[in-house]
Amino acid sequence: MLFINNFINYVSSKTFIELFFLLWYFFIFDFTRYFLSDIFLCCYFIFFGKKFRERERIALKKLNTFKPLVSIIVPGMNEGKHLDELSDSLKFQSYKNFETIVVDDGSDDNTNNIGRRLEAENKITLFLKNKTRGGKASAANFGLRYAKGQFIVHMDADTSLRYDAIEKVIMPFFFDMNIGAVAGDVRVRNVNASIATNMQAYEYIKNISLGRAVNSRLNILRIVSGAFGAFKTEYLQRIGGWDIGPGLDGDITVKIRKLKKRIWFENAAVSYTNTPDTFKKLANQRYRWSRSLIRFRLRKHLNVFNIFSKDFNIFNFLSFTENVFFNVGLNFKWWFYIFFLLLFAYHDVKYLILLNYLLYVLLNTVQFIVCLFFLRKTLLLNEKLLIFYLPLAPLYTGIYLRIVRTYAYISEALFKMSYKDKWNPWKVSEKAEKEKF
Amino acid sequence: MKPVICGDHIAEELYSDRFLYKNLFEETPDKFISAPYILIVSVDYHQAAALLHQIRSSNIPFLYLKSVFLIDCGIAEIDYIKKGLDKTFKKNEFDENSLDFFSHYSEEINKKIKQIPGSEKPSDNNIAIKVLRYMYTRNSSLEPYKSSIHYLGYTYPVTDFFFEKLNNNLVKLISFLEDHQLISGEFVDRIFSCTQCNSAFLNFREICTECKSPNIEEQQVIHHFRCAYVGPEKDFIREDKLVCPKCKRTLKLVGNDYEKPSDIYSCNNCGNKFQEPDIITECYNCSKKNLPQHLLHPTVKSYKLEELASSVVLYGMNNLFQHDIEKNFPHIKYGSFLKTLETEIERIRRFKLFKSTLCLIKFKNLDKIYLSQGIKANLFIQELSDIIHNVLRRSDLITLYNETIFIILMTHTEIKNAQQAFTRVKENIDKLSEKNLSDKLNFIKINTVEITGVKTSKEIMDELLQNAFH
Ligand SMILES: [Zn+2]
Ligand SMILES: [Zn+2]
Ligand SMILES: [Zn+2]
Repeated sequence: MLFINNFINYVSSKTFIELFFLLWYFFIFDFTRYFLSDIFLCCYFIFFGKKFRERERIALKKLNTFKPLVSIIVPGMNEGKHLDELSDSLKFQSYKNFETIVVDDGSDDNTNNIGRRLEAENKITLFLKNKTRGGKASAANFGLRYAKGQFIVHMDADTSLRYDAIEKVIMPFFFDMNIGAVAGDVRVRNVNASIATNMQAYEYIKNISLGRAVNSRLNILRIVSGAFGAFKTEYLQRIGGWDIGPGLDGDITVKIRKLKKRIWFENAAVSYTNTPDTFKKLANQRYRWSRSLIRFRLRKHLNVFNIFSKDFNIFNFLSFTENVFFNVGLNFKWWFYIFFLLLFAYHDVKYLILLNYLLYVLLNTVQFIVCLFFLRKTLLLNEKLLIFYLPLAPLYTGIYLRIVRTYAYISEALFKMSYKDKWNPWKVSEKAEKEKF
Repeated sequence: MKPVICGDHIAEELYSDRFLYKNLFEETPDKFISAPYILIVSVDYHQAAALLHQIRSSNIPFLYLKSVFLIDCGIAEIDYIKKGLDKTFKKNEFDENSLDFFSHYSEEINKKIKQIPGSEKPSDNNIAIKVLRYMYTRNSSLEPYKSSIHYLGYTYPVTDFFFEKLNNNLVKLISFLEDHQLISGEFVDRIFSCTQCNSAFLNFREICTECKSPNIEEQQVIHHFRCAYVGPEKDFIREDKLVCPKCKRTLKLVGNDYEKPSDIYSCNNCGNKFQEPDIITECYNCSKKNLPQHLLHPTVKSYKLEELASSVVLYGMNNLFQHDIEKNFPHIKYGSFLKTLETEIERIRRFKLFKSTLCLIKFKNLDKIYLSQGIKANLFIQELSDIIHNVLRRSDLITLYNETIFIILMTHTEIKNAQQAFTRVKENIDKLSEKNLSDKLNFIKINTVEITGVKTSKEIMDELLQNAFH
């Protein structure tokens, strides 16, 4: 009680300027970023909502008139156990004109038997088997080589789709001929498996469902998730498909942006994916993701930052800058902020941490309410109930994820660990390192 | 009696003093029947085979079971014909000892042939029995023989010479004998064969999974490591080099900068792509197309005689079965039974004093039970007969409609009483089969029709037999 009294006294004794100075990290970065994006989204829908609904109606009408063939490519290794469920769920899609190409990237379990059976039963159109593993990019490219569709949907075998997801992920191509790729919304399927999945479900809604929607409208979306995304086949062929991973989702998006095509995020195209159910497994997943960010943004596509290049594009530049800044830069600035607090306000650090915490909870709550409104058509009940977990969220996003990311960035920068990552077969990683990808 | 020698003229010159030189194509068979054995001397497979076939296709047991030896003067397919004969000698191995061997060997065989009643008269020309008798007299088994002239892919040389034409009904013959537990087999091999004609000569053909055309092409798939491009080899071929279509690099060394992780087929007919072609087989004999999983997959076995076979060998199959039934079931001929039935109908119509009932008993699979019981079968049939006769009165008449259907006329008996009586019969037969056969065989079928004087004998019989055949 005393602590709370002291805390209130402490806060009320400070002027707004003083607080801003002590809480600069929150105000300059997170508040601006998230609060402004919420404002942006609200305005956007207030002004254009009706126009968009009309545009969607027309696009759907066109889609159902032309009925283009869609090739669903599902690359993966040892994913046989998911294939029955996958083919069953595709059977009930509202959009029917698609082919399914499952690429088995050198599985050493019974995937081949399951795939061949489903192929014989006509539940998947083509089952392609690589006897040896070549990595996810090569598997996806194998599928692409034999795809007949005008559009490609790339998805993971353990992704499940809402009944209208295929229709909704293709729809945006009919908004605007210049759209080259559409990112589907990816949500957490195992929401209530553990605290770790609760937190991730919240994180996905905040960063993907809301964050990417905003980025897409600002035309700075930089990733089409491999779990569920769609591409115009023509453009994929022009850029030669996927390059060596990890991080190939982000990589291919950049290449499509370089063709001066737009990337669209479609909230109505909802897919669900299983997420790691312990914090340990989650950390491993995030190490991989974070390292690939460094590798692809900063090493391979460094020319995006070259304002003198003839390929220079201001949106690509902004997209990259935003990404690198918020992910890599901010991560280190946050440590700097902690250092700053200890240096300038060592005695009041407990009050400041509490204050920070409360501000984040407040910000998250406001933001989640925006989500509840914005995603009202597709949010499931268990996703809506995540609002009760919000008081825990700053521990997850503010502390846990920051530590994981920092470790990953440092180790990648210093040791190029992603080349040794088990994720790619060694023969491919070795080539990548030699070629300085 | 002298043994008969036949074949090339050389035979006559060499052995005419000890043998009777005969040629089956010209002579009547009596000399062959009375001969202790037959010796073929030949240089030509077709001649030797024709002679052997002439002997085996006779309908006189003493001839078709006769010991036949061969002196091989250089026959091409000797391995095959050898297995259909009692003994073969090369021309240079043949001497006085061989002649002793012939006499002793044939003496044993002839003793066994003589056990068969009427072995010197024409009899039953059923190939199944002939084969059983051959095996019985030789105490030998049927051994499969791989063969490309037989469309089954194998044959039993012994049986071949009993048939009119090569492989005619060999499969039916073997399964008949096996089903009736006259022979029992032991695994030798397993083959795939045509569902329509049993031929083992099949063309396994890879076809398109869509349009089923066999015009398909297999290509290796190449994965270029550095750019992750994957496509068929033809994407990479530039004159005499392999060049990646994505990154334009020349491929250098498989396993180093690229690999071939799989193959893919493309159909030249419809353009379909697939990794596992469908497989269809086409029979060389009858052109029937089959999926491999639908093919017959029979086991090829070697067979030996079962104990049960010996009674069949001696008395013939039908003979044996009918003989026992007739002996154990006092009955009247079917023709006279029908006459009596008409008289009965007329009596009932005229006097209207009483009713009679006609009953049918059908034994399902009686022949199989019979065969599976061997010697005990005779006792079993006697007991069946007793059970049925127990419910009959002196005035009742019984006839055999055929070997498995018995018809009984129960005079002055209402249908209700007849049914009661036959329920008892059924119960007793069930008890009997339970006790004597290892399991209770529900093999009896009973049908009853009342004679009221309204229907004619034909109508009544039709009604009675209506359900008896399935
Ligand atoms: Zn290449
Ligand atoms: Zn075809
Ligand atoms: Zn056939």
